[in-house]
Amino acid sequence: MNYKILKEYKIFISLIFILILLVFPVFVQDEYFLHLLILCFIWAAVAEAWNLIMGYSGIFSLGQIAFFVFGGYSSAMLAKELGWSPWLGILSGGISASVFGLIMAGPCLRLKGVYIALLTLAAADSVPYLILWAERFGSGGSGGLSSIPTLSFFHYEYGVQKIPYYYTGLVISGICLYIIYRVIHSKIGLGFIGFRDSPEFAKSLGLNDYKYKLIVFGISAFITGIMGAFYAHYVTVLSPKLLGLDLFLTVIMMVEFGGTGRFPGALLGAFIITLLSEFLRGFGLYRLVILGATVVASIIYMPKGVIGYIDFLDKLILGKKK
Amino acid sequence: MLQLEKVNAYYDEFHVLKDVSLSVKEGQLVLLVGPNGHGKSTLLKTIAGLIRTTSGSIKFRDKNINNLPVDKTVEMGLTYISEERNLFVEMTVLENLKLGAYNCFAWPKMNHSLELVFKLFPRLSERKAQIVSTLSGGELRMLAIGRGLMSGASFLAIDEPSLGLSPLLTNEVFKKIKDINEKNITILLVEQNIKLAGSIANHIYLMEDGRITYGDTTKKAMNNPIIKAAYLGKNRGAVHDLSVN
Amino acid sequence: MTYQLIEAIISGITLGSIYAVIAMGLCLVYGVSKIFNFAHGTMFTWSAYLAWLCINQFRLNYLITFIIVLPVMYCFGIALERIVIRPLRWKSDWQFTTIVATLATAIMLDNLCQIIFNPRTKMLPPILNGTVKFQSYVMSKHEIIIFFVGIITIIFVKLYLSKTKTGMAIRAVSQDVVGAQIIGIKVDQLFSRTFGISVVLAAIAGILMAPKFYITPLGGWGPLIKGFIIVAFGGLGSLSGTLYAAFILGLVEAMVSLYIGPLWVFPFWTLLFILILAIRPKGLLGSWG
Repeated sequence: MNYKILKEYKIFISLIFILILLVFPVFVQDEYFLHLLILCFIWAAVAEAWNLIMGYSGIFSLGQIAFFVFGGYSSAMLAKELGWSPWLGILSGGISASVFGLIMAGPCLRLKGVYIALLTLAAADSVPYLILWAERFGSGGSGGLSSIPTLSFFHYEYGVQKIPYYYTGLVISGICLYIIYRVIHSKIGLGFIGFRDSPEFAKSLGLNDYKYKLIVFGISAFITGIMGAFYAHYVTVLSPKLLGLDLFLTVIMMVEFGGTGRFPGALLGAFIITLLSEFLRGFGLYRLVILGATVVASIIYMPKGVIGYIDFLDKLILGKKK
Repeated sequence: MLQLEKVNAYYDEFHVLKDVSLSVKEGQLVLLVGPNGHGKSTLLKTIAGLIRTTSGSIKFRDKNINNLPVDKTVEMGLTYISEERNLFVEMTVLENLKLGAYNCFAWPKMNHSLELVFKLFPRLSERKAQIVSTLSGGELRMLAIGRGLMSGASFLAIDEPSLGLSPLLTNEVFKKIKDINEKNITILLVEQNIKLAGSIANHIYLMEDGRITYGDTTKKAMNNPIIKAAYLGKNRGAVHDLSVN
Repeated sequence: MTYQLIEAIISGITLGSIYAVIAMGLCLVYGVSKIFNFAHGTMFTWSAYLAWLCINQFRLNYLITFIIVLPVMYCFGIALERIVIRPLRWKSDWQFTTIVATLATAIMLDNLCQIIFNPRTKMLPPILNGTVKFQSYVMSKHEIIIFFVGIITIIFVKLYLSKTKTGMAIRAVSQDVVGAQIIGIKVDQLFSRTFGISVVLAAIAGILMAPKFYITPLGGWGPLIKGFIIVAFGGLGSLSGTLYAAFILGLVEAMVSLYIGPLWVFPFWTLLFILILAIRPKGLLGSWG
């Protein structure tokens, strides 16, 4: 078997996977299972956006959950306070998150490595204070926001039904993933990788690192914000607690476990970790201990993530037939 | 004292040392010359234990030191003095020298070795309390050598001590190296400037493209037509000068 | 008015001395290994809990508590370095992986803390009860002890680094790793020792702070981020810069909570951090390029 056929096989398998996801609710109407898949869609895009900034661009942004919460809150508050349509809210959630992302990117422009990690972490940790302060504008303060309007399509109200959310989530997440995929495989994406691997060389080619940092922060925050807004209209409650360590660790783990810097990696990671995390809910407090230990173990023992094993498998298949 | 047999080593992906064999006898001052980027520094780093070998053997005092960590080779009396000097620039001269005696055998004898180093390099004694980043190029080089001596080594591997020094200072440094050698410390010296360093060495090896291509006593080497043409000849010198300018 | 101001200054200096102890640990580890230990705050929390165990459960006094907890935390630090950090070092993407690994370790240990000691907040009694009156100013004795222990720790660390063999080696490694290797310093061993020392510093701060604030499982994150900001402000890896920064920021914090309100302390730190980095990315005394 040669490389080209293997690649075709993989595309084939992905297509089948997408097809299964498309017709899934026709056969399985179990609410809990659909709920899990909707979460998978949301986290897939969020993890991939994180992968774009961290894995592909080598920028240690630890503020992604803040983008998520920012998007969610903006959309929810616009819908609740000003009566905007949630669809418009989702879009403006993305926009406001990307504005926040660009503000965050500003001081990061001249920094590198661990400084960016610290700065973004500190900024993300300030968002709860921002939410408390914004209580006067209807952010709900420390108690959080509840009864956020659900989505509706023309006059069809989604309410608490899972199937419409399932398809909406699939479409939104699909579009976001497609955008990320295109960005990675475009000239801009090559620029990101260039700055990650050899900043001096990329600069010597005349690339502008400020521009690239701004773009990558903007896109990553935009997509994370959109998914945050969708999440808000799906679960209909938001609270500053989202900014805790729980979600942060879960999403970072998706990227790390799947394989940093690889598009299919974070995608696989999102599905695996979302399901694992739900499965571990039965363990109560032990859940985060187990997740944390898994992250550490996976970094040490499988540095390339799940995708590393798939690459290994590829090599075996290709090698044997040669 | 030091024997290398068919040593192979890689730097990242590059095969740098190819079947290198050479030997240094006790009390000798051996010169390793050759063009830039042909593996001389790598060879010294491999001997010191900074780079792993893939095959071959390195014997020091008849003990295998292949892939021993650096701290072990230092304890055995083999000290490497790097081309980049790697001094602790925010510390004083004295602190740098004291740290040179870090290994457990040299630490108790620190005062004695300090005396020795200060006798050899009176300038360092004058600048004892100065922060290293304020020293001049020649002083830095002497400090690097002095720090290496502090380890109580019986074998020094010195990498390009003339780097960045004026000819006058280079001469002075070589004189000091000769003095050290006369204190019965064996030296393996890497240098490009064969004209200067040849005069103090007992034995010369030539390294080209990761291989030892020539090795003989200094007397014979100086009369060897190939060495003469390639490394001592007037033309070569002219080219070298041009490249420097 | 001036009375309040002086009180704020005193509390600022006390805070500064404790922040300096926390930040010194981070600074040492960063200097030696260029790694930022995100589990530093967790060590702070754990030592407070261990102290609570000693004092409230086993009825020991503070002196014995320190004698028990500090060596335990030292071993804890060394174990952390051996298990989590060492396998990742020398690998190509260690900068990224060590950030994620220490973060994950921190979250894991925090939750373990929550399981073992249950999430309810805990209190420690002050080391010495009562207050000291100095003219018209009243200070609690505990606060005075915090200040003195903090200052003694700082002096002790400074002396350790400049006078002892290991201390000099720590400085050597942070200035030139290759240089340290070629003079025979066992760099790996030194990394774990430094880690151990830094955790001991976190433990000292953790035990001192516990009677002043409540102990909670997530209580270490605040000091961690503040420690980071101090280290960055002081110039990564520069010990004297870190000390200056700790006292400056301690005073700033006391002023902010006096004039603007305690809720604003944390956003103010962040704002300050961003400003510092925007104006001077290398920090106060940084030589970091």
